[in-house]
Amino acid sequence: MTDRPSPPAPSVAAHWRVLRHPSTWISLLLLAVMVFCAIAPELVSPHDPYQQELSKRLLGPVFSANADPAHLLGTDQLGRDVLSRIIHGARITLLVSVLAVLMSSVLGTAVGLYAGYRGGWIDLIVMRLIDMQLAFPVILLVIAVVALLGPSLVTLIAIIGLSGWPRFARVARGSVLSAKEMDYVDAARAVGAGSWRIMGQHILPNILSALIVYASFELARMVLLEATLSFLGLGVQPPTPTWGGMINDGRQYIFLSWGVSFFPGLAILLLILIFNMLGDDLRDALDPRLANE
Amino acid sequence: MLSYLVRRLLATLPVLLGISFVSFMLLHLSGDPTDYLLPIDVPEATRQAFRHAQGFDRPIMVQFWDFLQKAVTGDFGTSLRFQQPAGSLVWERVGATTELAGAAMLVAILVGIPAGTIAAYRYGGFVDRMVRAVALIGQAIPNFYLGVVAIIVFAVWFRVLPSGGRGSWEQLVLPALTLGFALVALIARVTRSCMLDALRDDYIRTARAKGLGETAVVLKHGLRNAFIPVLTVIGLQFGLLLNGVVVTEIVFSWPGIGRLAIQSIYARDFPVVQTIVFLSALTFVMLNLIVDLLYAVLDPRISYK
Amino acid sequence: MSIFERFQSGAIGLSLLMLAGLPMLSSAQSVPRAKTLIIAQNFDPQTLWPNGTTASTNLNAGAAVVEPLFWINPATNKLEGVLATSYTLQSPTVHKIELRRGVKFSNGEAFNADALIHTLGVFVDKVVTPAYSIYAAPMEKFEKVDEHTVLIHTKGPYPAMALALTQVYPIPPGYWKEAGPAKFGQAPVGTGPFKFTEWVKDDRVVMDRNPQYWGVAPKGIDRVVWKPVPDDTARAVGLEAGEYDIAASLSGAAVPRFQGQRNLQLYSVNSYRVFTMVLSALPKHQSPLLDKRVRLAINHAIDNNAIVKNLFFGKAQVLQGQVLRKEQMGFDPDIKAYPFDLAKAKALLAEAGHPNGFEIDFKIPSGRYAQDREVCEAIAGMLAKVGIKAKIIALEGGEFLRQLRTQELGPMSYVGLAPPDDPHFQLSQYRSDWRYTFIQSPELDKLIDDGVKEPDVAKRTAIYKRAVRLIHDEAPAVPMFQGLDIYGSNNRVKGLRPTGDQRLFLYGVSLE
Repeated sequence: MTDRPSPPAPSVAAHWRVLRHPSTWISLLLLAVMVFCAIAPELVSPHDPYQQELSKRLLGPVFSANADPAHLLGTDQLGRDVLSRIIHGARITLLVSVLAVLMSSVLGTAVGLYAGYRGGWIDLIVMRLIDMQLAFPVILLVIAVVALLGPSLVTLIAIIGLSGWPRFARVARGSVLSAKEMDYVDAARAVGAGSWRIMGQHILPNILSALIVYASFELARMVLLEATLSFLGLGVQPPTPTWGGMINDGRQYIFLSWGVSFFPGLAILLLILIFNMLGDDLRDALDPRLANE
Repeated sequence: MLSYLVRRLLATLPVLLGISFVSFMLLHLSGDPTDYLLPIDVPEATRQAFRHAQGFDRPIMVQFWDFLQKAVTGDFGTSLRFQQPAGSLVWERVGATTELAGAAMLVAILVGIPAGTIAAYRYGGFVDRMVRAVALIGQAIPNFYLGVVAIIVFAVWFRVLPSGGRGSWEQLVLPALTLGFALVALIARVTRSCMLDALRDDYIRTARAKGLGETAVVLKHGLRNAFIPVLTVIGLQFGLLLNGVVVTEIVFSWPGIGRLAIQSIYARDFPVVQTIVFLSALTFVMLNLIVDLLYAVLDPRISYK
Repeated sequence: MSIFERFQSGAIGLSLLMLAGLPMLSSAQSVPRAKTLIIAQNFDPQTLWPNGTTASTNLNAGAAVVEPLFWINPATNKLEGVLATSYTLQSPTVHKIELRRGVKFSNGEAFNADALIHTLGVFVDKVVTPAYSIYAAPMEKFEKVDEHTVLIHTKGPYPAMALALTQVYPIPPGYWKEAGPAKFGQAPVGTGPFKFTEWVKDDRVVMDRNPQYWGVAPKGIDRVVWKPVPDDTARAVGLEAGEYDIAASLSGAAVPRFQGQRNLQLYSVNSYRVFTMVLSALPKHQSPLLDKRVRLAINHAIDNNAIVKNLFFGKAQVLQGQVLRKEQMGFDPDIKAYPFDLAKAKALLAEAGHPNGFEIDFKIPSGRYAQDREVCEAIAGMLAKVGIKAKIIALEGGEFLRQLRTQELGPMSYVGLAPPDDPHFQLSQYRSDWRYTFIQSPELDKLIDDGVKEPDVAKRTAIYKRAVRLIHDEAPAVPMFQGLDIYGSNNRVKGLRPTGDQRLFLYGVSLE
């Protein structure tokens, strides 16, 4: 192996550099709004999202012909306020994606670090597992499992989380392979530090920034996956509002009221956009070399 | 090179086996599909007779082994819903899915590469910013949402395009555009960044100094060198395309493999789901291999031992 | 690669793509569109052998080729012969059927007593025809009297025999023996007004006019094409655009959209499918529902009229507090539905010891019936008003059916059952030994058993009326409404009469 110069661990200053982009500020602000909606929706939403009004079904948004001014974005097929349901829907989406990313990042990083560091047949098996899972059509896997085990919050988080570990593992493993031969690692080994210590103290901090960037993109991917599952009816159960579920419910009524499907989708689009942009900005700020990945 | 090829092919076997096993287990753990196939008021004795005739009452490992033995000869079992060989059922729809995926890929390439090239060439300008903005949205928009919105706009409001099905070219437009949109975004972005790198390189300056026309410089030299990373991305995206195809087929009622897969999962039609899982994994693995090989062919610097 | 070369390969690729799509566009365009009837259903058939399943999408297509012995003419509501000409009772257990003469299957085989006996043998075979075992069960022996007369011996009196005979579809013995049920289902041969031409899975089933048809063929139709279009919106939009002549199972949302259009007709049919809430009184489903007062309270808390008015545009028929429909024998006009009365519901709950309501699991089907999730969410909203917090558990179709069959749908659920049209079958769902009953009542069992054997119509009616009242009083269910089936067609289609069991017969239909 060669003497490659050790990759500089991005300094703390570099992390703050990300705030220089105006786009970062906008993303963070919008994200804060969404998180607030997720934590305390009652403070923001104009109506109770579960309040049904059968005689006021499928009203259009406030600028359309059959609107009711009390319902800015109209009502759904049971007369519930669309805007309120969108606000309350943020909770499920954020909860599922954040927990799933935590799960997959911790699991994937640990596995990847270990496999890369240890090498040998452990590494081989892990690589095969990664290949296997990445070769599997993810969406079919997830749909099959949720359809078969029954949809529930825990199942969703677990399955979506499990679908993400290979990517983290790959990143972690790749970084370990190059870092393994570094001088500082040899030095640590010479002093007698154990593998986990070396991995934890020396290698992990160096790849942390790459993992953070990755996590941002994975969040976007998981928001999409959760929305897709809800769209297919495999998400959290009604009457809890979910953005994907609302889009699906609205499909039958496209003729009568397009807003039921249209507005929740904007929320999904916005959230994914936020995570993607944050990921881009973080990547640019932390390590320009990663930009070509 | 040949040995590399052989080794790669051999390596795919355990992967495919593992995937088949996992999906087989998943499907069978959820119970048997008899409820979907028989009306609910059928007497118990009849149900048991049916289950026995289909072999559902055997231990799982026995059923899996049976499946493997037959799969190796190309017999993927009989669809429980349609009473037809699962293999032919899937095969009949390959054309539909290929048509959709191919059209989407075509759109993505035909629109994405020129868009990315122009954006790179006019770096910082209006076109560049437009392309980047659209690309950003394109990669963030869920494709089922895009499909639903497209149906709202083109089928319900303006009534210019049909909202689903397959048969006429009009019915291909919306699904292909929906599926391809995210791809256009990605390809445009990648082309743009690769072209930016390429255009800044020394040999471009040399070419310009030699007096070659701008078009030739950009297209011949720039694009050719950007081609490799773009190709890699395209190759990888085929896999993602397969993922997106499933939801697109559902939104537009496109009679392809994706929709068949979902219906079969819901109906517990094991043989069909098995077949589809197996074939998509195979396709994905083969595509990766082809991209790697193309990589080697196109870039003389890369060689495999 | 130069740009030119790349364009070349791109063009070749594109042409290959188009070639892949071409076969879809061709398909024997020899029959003009004006003489083709295109019908959009919500599923592709699984088999075209009518006795293969009981699903209407399969039967509608299959029965255009393979005809039944009898049918109930929707125009007259009477039993009429198709391949049979008469049905008489020689004795309570001997049923005589006269066959139509001079009928041939489209492959040349003759339709006669031998063919019918062969068909009946297949019909009662539990392994080959499990879906119809409920009709076949009482049949014991078949006897040929002469070329055109057959006797069916049953194990006991069988008043529903006429109904059973509408489910028997004679098949050609020679072709059947050669092809077997699976192949037959893919390429059926029958006596019908149309012959099978081709079946492109998930795309179309094509049948052409049978020039040797024994009866009066549907006028103006040389070809019928059945297209599977699972998406409700696509079916409606396709009908509007002229892609389809008939669209089946339209959703309620289509009604306002189509009502103004002059070249389209809508048919609202009150389906035989009866929607009820299941309130399990079984001891194994421990819940407050074991107390009859709680079950009555729920009956008072559901506003069926509001549901029908708002979710079904007022077009579905509310059930009158009983599980039989108005037209059925045993319907008691003196029984009225429990009135919608929130105060009464709350009072009953308080009396039963639940002044503040309670929490309960509510298992609902998702996508199994039209607007099922919607109706259930509406129900949950109504129950919330009296303090009952229904925790919705949505089950996808297959899982829902499984739990129905294994009695796991307690304590509370919503189900739409469409048993065969005889009150015996409808009421049998409440027998204590029926797989998915949610009530245990020996008294009710006896009534059901008596009813199935009673040949005298007046006495039978009285028995069923008592049974219905018992169910009403015990309230193991909230009878809600009859399903609403909506079909659409363009003005060229005449004589279309969809039936309550979602059957589309082509007899009497014509195309202008």
